[in-house]
Amino acid sequence: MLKANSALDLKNVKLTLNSRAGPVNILRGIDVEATTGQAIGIVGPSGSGKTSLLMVIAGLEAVTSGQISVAGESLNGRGEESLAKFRRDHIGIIFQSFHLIPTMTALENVAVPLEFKGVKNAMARAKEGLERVGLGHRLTHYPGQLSGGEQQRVAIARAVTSGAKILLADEPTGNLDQETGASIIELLFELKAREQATLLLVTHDRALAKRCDRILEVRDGLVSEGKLK
Amino acid sequence: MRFDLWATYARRNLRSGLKGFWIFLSCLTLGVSAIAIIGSLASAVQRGLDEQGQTLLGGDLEFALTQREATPEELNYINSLGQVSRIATMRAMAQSNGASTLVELKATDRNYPLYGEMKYNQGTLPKVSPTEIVVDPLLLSRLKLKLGNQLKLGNATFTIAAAIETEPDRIADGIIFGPRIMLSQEALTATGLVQPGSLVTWRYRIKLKTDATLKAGKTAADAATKKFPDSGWRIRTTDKAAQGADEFINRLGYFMTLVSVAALTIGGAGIANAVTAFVNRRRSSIATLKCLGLPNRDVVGICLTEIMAVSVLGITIALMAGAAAPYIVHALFGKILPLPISTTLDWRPLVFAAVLGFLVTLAFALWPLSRIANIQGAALFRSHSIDETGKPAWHYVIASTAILALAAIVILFGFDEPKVTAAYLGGLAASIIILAVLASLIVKAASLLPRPKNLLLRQAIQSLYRPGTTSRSVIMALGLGLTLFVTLALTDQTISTELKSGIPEQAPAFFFLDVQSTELDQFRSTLKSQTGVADITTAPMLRGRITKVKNVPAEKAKASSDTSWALKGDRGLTFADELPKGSTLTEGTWWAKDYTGPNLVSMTEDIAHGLDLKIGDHITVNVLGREVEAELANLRKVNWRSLGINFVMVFSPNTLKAAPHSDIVTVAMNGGDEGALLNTMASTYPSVTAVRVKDALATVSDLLDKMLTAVRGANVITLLTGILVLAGALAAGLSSRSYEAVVLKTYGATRRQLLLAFIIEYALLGLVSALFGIVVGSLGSWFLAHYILEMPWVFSATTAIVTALIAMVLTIAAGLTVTTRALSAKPSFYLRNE
Repeated sequence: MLKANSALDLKNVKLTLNSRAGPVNILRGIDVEATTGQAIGIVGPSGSGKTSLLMVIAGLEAVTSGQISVAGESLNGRGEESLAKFRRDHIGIIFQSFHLIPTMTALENVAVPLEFKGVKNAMARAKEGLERVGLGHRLTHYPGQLSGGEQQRVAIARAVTSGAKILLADEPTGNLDQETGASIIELLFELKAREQATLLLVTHDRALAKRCDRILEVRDGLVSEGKLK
Repeated sequence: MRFDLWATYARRNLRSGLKGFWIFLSCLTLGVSAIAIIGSLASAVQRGLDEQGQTLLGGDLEFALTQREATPEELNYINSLGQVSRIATMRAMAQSNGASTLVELKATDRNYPLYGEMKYNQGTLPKVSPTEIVVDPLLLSRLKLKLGNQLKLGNATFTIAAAIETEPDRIADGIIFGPRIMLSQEALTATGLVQPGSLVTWRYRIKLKTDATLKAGKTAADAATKKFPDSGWRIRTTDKAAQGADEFINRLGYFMTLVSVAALTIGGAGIANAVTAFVNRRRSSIATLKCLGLPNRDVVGICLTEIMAVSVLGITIALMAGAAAPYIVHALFGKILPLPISTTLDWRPLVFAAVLGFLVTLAFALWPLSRIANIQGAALFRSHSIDETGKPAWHYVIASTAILALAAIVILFGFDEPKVTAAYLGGLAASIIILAVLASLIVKAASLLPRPKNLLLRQAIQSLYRPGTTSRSVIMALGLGLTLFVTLALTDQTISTELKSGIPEQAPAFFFLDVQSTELDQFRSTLKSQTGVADITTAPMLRGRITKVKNVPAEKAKASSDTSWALKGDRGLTFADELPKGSTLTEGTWWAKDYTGPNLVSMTEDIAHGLDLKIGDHITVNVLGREVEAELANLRKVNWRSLGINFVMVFSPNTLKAAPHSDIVTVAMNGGDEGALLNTMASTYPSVTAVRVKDALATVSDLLDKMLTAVRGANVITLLTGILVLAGALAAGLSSRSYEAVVLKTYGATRRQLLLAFIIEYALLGLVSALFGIVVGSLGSWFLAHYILEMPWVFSATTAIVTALIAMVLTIAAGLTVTTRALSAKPSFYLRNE
């Protein structure tokens, strides 16, 4: 039985991927619970399974075994189309490499999830979203015409404006300089608070992780609760 | 389905331009243009013939009678229909200054021409007098004559009054073997050439009194047939003005369209490669859309909308080329072309081309688009990975196959010969399937080979099967391109050989027509006295028209498409008491020498089979206005290529002996002077017509020459398509190739080594494709020669191999040009982004 304010509930989640050299156990039995509105920092060495954990939560990778519920919905046994709809309704992802669509303007990039949700005033809401991240003057610019920091702001606007209650950020400042990175993090936390969203932030920066409510340490495919101080 | 959103997203993606779509656009535009241009031109000529039917026929209606004039009763009826122009046409010998040549006489009356206008080099002449003639300028140069000179025809001598510039109804007479001479009816009588049994055709053209339409013409023709069922006349309306040219254009159009369909299909492989490259390029955007929650169906929908939108552009360009073609040809060549070209737009060939273009695009795009399902949103979290391949989902395969089947149905409905077309399309489909299987087998076989010690060879062989390899699409592109190229090269060879084959060794040098039976013995002895005469053959000859087959009127009788000609117009007939030379009896028995029983006939087996006739069946022939019914006694096989005297129908002597007839005489020569013999015979027997075999063959060669030009045009289209498709296949793998080259260069591989490995790899692929091209291309050319061109197939191993090798080297060179871009990739660009 899920708690009313449960954002995440992973029970003994395992993920095994097949490679040419044979099966590789990426996640080896993870138990994670989170309540709505929490910010969770995910840390750990390269190859420990941090990104895979995000992918499992986003429904981009199907778990090999275990139970997984996100935003109150079970992801077990769901087909690709159903998972796509789940992401559209609940998940916002922020990538290290931004992954904006190069042929669309900033405004159109932000509007994508809204338009596919069938939101009538998608463009107006996307414009508001961009204004909130300080890019009201860059609406018609293409990704190629924006700086790295600006592109990441667009990506954050895209993740938040759709109304996603689970934000997954994978090294969001990894491709940015320190100053720009800091401002992006400020913005991310500000919006997270305003939208009362749950944030899972993968980072190598322990100081940044400490800004979160909790820290999860991932090592060899297993998760343990980290210390904030 | 959210078509509005698909369209919105496709439009957004296309705003950045057509970068990356050029190969797709070129393959599609080239294939569809070829079909649209050929269809438009064929239709423009067809409609040109229809629109100018009255002028080309010289009336609304024509009644043609061979070897006899209309009876007073028939003439009364003809005169009642409207204004009549009576014309006589026949072959004859013209003599001047001791030289002679075959000419085509046309005797006209004062009403000629009923439609159109005769034009001479001196403008419009008043009607010529009985002592004057007008001639084709070719005759002047052939006999070294000038206007005002004298020319002898039969027993009379005429003054040349003018040279013909335009003869409006020239096309209605079909192929003519000598220069035209036009003269008055009185002048023709004066020549004395018209004797009983002479091969004269009398034509009565009519300008209908009131309603000069095709419908009225047909109604009048039907009424005339009913009123005079046994007259044996051939009635033509304006839609049949240029039957020979009609059939030639149809056949050429058919052949060229089938070749273009093959080019479009090969272009389809190019489209598939280009769409694969498109999906690879968009991999990141596709994964992003999936991460943002777009279902796979919508992502495929967006990409398909984008591709179809680009195809609209390509097809529009192709249709514009197709629509413009008749206008351009008319403007540039209208005056020198022997056929009229209509300049009104016909949308039907354009719709045909557009429908095929869309169907082929859709069918070949769906397959690679189905791979979008294999691109996971998770791809965005991974660094540079292999492009997704894998098998397409079964519903995409079914959809692609169904669309291609629909395209095949469209093509089948586009032509009159469904069986041949179906066989052709079946062969095309089989080639693609066999090649696809072969490509997979080769890739599999390469992976099973032991690893060679030589680094470059190892690199080349591994490239054939490594994940993300483009080997399959390169083999498909090269194999299909080379197959079509070899097909066309061998077809070219077949036509060229037919052109050059010229005269068989045993062939006669001359055919003498209209030799009167009374002068036959004397004619033979004169011939025998000439030097170089090796063999003389004679046969009685009449003209007649098949009017009934198994008592069914000829116009309603069933005939296969390749025998229907036998029921149109007059045929040469003969009678003989022995099996003619060059014939072999294949069924039934030959009649006894002094046979006097019921009328019997012998037919060539191909025509008899085509008309569904069996031994014992009856056919009726109208000879000189008399219906002659005969029973089929036997079937023969004839070696027409010997060019000896032979006839489709040979009657038992008792059937036709009493009919007035002339004789045909052939002369084979062994040395001697053909020109001297011709002049002697023409001056001694002025009413006899001599056809020199060499000249007659030259006329036929002219037609084949035109066909050869068309085949060579098709070759250019194929070569261009082949190179584009190959470039597309290579471009699809360019990004992973560049990355691989960068990594190898980082680890010390030199540019030369990488280039050598590429050359070995493409030579291996090229070799396999060339072998396939030679085998299947040879089969293809046999099919075209046998069923479409109806010529003996010529196979030349040298042509096939050299063509395949040249094409292979050319295409590999094109491939390397594309691939060297991969070698030029800057490592820093890739490595910084990784």
